[in-house]
Amino acid sequence: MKYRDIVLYGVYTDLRTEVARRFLGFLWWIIEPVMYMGAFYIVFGLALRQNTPGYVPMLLSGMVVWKWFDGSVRLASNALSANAGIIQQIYVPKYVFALIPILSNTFKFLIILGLLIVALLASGHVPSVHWLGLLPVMLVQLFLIVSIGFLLAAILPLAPDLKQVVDNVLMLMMFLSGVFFSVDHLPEKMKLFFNLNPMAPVITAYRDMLLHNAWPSWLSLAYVILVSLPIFAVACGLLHYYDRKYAKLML
Amino acid sequence: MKNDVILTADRISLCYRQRTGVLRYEKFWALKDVSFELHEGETLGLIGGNGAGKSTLLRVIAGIVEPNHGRIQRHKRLVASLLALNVGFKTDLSGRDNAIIGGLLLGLSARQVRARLDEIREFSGLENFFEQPVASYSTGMRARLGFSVAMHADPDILLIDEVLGVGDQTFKDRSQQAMQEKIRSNKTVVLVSHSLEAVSKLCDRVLWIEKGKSIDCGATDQVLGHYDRVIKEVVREQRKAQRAALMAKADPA
Repeated sequence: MKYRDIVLYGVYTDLRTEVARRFLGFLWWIIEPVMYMGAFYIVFGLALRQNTPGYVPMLLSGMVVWKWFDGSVRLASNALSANAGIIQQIYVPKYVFALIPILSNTFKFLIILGLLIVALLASGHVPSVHWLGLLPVMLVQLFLIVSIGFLLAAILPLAPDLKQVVDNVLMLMMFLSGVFFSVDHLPEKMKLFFNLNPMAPVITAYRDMLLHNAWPSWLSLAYVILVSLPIFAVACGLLHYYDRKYAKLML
Repeated sequence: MKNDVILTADRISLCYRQRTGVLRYEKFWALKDVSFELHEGETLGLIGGNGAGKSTLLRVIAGIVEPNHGRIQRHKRLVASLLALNVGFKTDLSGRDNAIIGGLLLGLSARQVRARLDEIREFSGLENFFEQPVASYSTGMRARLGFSVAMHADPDILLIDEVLGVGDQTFKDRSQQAMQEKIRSNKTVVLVSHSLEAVSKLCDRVLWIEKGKSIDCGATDQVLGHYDRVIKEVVREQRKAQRAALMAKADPA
């Protein structure tokens, strides 16, 4: 595939740019998430003093997983307008621009996930064979991210006003994904409703593996794939249909 | 010289959408029913006033936008790209990295770009600056880098939008020479220019469009002759109108 080189080099230069732009370079990929998680630790772990034991690991694992989704989707939704200059001058299939920020954000997520695992090990969690489930769960989440990211990338240039809506929907989705609480603790009726949000079962899956040393619920992961598939299909359809029309619209 | 037709445009029209207020759009037809053929190895000149639709037509040929009506037919798989001068500069990165991005975007494979990097560096004349971040470049140096990359990308159809002279005198000479070599070689070129002298020197055929409509298309001498007559006529009309207006002012009665 001819465009693979563009995607790979695009991810590489994305990351290189971040390193080059900052005095501490790649150290920020570690410092920034530590500060971010530290802030939540201070608020919820120390100040608000949740009584439940194991609240902080639960919160942090939820945040890390959510941030991967949230950051990637936001970057992807802005991808076409961020590359308007190139789009006006050269023909490149538009999915390329959406894929690049998703992949470079994924790279940063892997670092943060590594940090999280180190923190978990340091606080006495023991790894088990169930941690191998991380790989399929991450692939499922990546598929969800790509589907929603592509969809927003395709739609936002057509209706730029939606950006404000997207910001608020993402925030609502964060509160409804069980980042700050465990979906398991909800009453049975509410649980069903909460788990309609595809990010909720994803976050639960990570917690099952990392915190409870259990296999994730494969059924709920199948649900995530089932939700993503039509979104992915529609997104690809739109990107294909408007491929050579975006340059006309973005004036 | 009668070569194979490699691209046919059949009555293409294209409209842009402009936002004119809340919930309101206005349509602007940049091209209306334009037809032409492009032969392999020829240089086609595109002439016409500002806003005639020349650049839009280039973008249609490059496949960046598709026409709303009409058909553009490519008779074989080919890459047509604009000689774009400032493609995707990431100013925090070195000229070398930017040259690679530019080359990839212009359709080269990673291997091809790497093979041509030394030539690009050589041609740009940037020397040690080639390894420096583009942020430290002057405007002229950026143009040099962009031009050198575009020149080495080597598409099947080269689309040139009025790029006659970039950078300082030395580089201007070099770039013009390189461009003329490309045009004179057996490459298919579409050249937009306001310089009739350049057009008559370089082009085999000329397409003249005005306000999105094609006025004339044919051999260079014939179309330029036609263009020249019409322009002179228009200028004469304008002078006459001006004179009449002056007279009216001087003598209100």
